[in-house]
Amino acid sequence: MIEHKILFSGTTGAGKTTAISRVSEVAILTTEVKNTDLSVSKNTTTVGLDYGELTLDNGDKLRLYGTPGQKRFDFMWEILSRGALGLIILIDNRSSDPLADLDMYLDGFERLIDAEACVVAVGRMETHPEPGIERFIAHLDARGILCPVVPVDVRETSQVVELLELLMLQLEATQEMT
Amino acid sequence: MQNELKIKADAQAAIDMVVREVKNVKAVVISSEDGFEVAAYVEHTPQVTRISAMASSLSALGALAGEESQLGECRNIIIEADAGILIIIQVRKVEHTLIMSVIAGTDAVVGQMLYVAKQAARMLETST
Repeated sequence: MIEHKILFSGTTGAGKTTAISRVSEVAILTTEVKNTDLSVSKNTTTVGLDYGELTLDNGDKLRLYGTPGQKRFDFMWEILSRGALGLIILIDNRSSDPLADLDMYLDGFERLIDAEACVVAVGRMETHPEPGIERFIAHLDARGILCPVVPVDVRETSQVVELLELLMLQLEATQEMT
Repeated sequence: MQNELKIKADAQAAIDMVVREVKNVKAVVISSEDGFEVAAYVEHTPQVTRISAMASSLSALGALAGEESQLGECRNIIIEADAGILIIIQVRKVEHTLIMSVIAGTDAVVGQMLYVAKQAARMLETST
């Protein structure tokens, strides 16, 4: 059995904890505390990490880690990136500037993205369709980053599983290229 | 607003107590549970924002480790490093939790530091 460490990062409130809880086979570990930031409309926020596990059909085990979304916790991004094989960036399209949000995570996880695989998943597109997927793709392209961009509803277990499968495919493709 | 000013004033009083009584104290930062500065004393350590965020993460991880190890609630975290000591202590007020971080040089005594930090935390917890 092979174990892979996978990271979920992205906009505060995009659903990192929810995504991990939807697919984890074990009770997830969370470090959520009361949110006092009035610019973010949620009651609690992750300040350390989330952790869950998922076994794939081929027997491989995914250890799923969620990071805090806020830039002030970027030291946790660095700590949690160590040994990770892939990154899923969740973007909340309700944000005032989703592309700027994406840039923050692309910069923060630059080394991981360069070395391993990454998938960008955009949430709340049904109510906030702009920027569209093609703009995210063009944005990544302009930065010379090759990674898939898909819409997602992290409340749907099947969609989170699909994200992880896409990441694993991306990882295989990256490894074949190198 | 009035409430916020009162919390800041109480936090500053707790900080003053620690600075007065702990030997070679370098910094005392009181922050919200999610890592925002409430009040601070720093000496040659301008990174209050960073300390606040790290204390928030460490405190939450300590709480998680305590629960997962079936040890109950985490009361404090002590880090002894080459150049000094860091104590992170939870301040559980009725309406919210605050986090106090105390940083001191190597010649500080851990036990005395912890005793004073706990006293200051208790004072802050019971302030109304």
